[in-house]
Amino acid sequence: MSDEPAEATVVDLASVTRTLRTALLEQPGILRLEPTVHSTLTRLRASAVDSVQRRLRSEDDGPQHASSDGLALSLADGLLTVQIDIATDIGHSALTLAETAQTLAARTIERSGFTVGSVAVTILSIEGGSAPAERPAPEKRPRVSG
Amino acid sequence: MIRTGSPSRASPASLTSVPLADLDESTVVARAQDGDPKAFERLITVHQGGVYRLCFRMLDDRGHAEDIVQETFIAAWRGLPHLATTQAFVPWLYRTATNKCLDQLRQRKRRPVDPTAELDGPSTGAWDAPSSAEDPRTSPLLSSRGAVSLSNGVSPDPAEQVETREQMRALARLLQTVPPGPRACWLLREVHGFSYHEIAAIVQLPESTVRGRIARAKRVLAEGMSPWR
Amino acid sequence: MALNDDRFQEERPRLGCGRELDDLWASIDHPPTPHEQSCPDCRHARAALHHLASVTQAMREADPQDPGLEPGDRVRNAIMMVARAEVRRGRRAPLRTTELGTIDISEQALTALIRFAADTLPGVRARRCTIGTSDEGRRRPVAGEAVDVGDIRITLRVAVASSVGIPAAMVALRERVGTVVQAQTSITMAQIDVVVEDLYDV
Repeated sequence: MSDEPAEATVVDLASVTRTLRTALLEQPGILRLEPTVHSTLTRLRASAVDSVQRRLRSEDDGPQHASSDGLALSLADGLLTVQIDIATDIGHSALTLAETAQTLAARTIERSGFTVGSVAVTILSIEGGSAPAERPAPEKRPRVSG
Repeated sequence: MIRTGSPSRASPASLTSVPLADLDESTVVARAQDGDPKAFERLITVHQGGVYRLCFRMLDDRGHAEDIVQETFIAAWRGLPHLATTQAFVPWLYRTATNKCLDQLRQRKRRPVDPTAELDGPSTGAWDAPSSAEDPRTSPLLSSRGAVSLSNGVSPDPAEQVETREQMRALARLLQTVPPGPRACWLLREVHGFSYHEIAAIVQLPESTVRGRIARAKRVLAEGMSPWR
Repeated sequence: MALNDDRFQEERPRLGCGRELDDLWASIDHPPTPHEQSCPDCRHARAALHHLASVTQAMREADPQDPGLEPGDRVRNAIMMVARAEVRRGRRAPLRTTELGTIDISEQALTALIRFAADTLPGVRARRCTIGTSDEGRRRPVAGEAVDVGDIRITLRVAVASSVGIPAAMVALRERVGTVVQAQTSITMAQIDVVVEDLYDV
């Protein structure tokens, strides 16, 4: 616990979110940070589907909360609480990767000057080797745009 | 991508599964029922074109046809877990899309409808896609991209192709004069290849009514395509 | 035969000679009957229906080849965005609590893992997979609710290649599923029920 008067909040949560995202995605075996109920539906609410497509950027919900796909950060009483939702590669143990993600996140947060409250990880998908599922169907011709 | 030297016992390089595209449809539907997004996306790949073409021929409007495809598949995603059998999926999809098209056409009816004005006249309101201002010869009823290759018959005679394309365009235009109910039945039977029995289930009407509607649509279309007397 | 205004009343259309149009259509690919050869109504109608049939066939074949008659990519993207977001509403199975916090796995990720593991066996295609615990009864699982990982029972439905010996395949299947799930999540499953619901030809 630091007695420094919230010097850390100068670094805004949105930028910690971005740093954290980069660090996690560099970890071999973590395929994606997954959009969730946290990061998507709360923003989507009852609005039209089209609006979902406009919110791909990391969003800053104010000084106390920040979220982007697969990441939700909130700051209360000087402690930063993080929820991480990951998709992993089946070539790695998902549980081991989740633990690695926790450690990595804690380190990144501390380096940004925040104090870690808790880091929760949810494994939302474990993906493995099959031919790519979504090639365009072979009989289809290339789409002509316009 | 399987990394070697991974600490996991669960990752021999042999851990690969059959590509979704090679699986039987019942298996793909079952997985989508279980909430597997990749299986569901495969179903989109396979069926979105057919559903879109049905909607487009029903509505003669690309944007609204796309909207209904979108709504239909989202409804499918939500409804899949409750589907009784995997075989029910495709009829369910077409039933949902057909109902949405008929609903939309009912709403349109509140406005004065003149099919020819909708096709080549000035914009008559919000339902008109931008393309409706085009030359009627490149009406949105048929893709105006000349790339359509006609696969019926071996002869690639250009004059014949142009002729056939004109005829298809005329048919598509004429189809808009057929009332929505018979139009849907005719499309499902003649373009999408469903049986009378399946169509009866899709439109929730007795098979005899379906047969009657298709016959009526055929009569209008046949008369319009080559008027006799 | 002129068009009547009542052409869409719920009665099957007939030709001037009294024949149902549907009958005529049904025999359109056969040579004309003596009546059809002599009756002008039937002759005209046959010619018109023939023409309609050929244009319809051309349309049926051309439309699926026409890239202009496919929905745009934004449609698929929007559908999948909703689908991926909504799939996460399942239950969660807690796997471990470290000093930093909890680690859990969504029910959907777990069933997908089980299906994947089953699928890696030649001749087996995983279909639906349900997760239950012994005290669950018939109650509907609630989103966000936790699964008791100490007592996980799964029911996996599969299609099996007709050439595969089922008893041996079932043993291998349970083994494979148990191993993969254990390695990925540390969960040891209490029970793995396999239902062969279909056979497929190779």
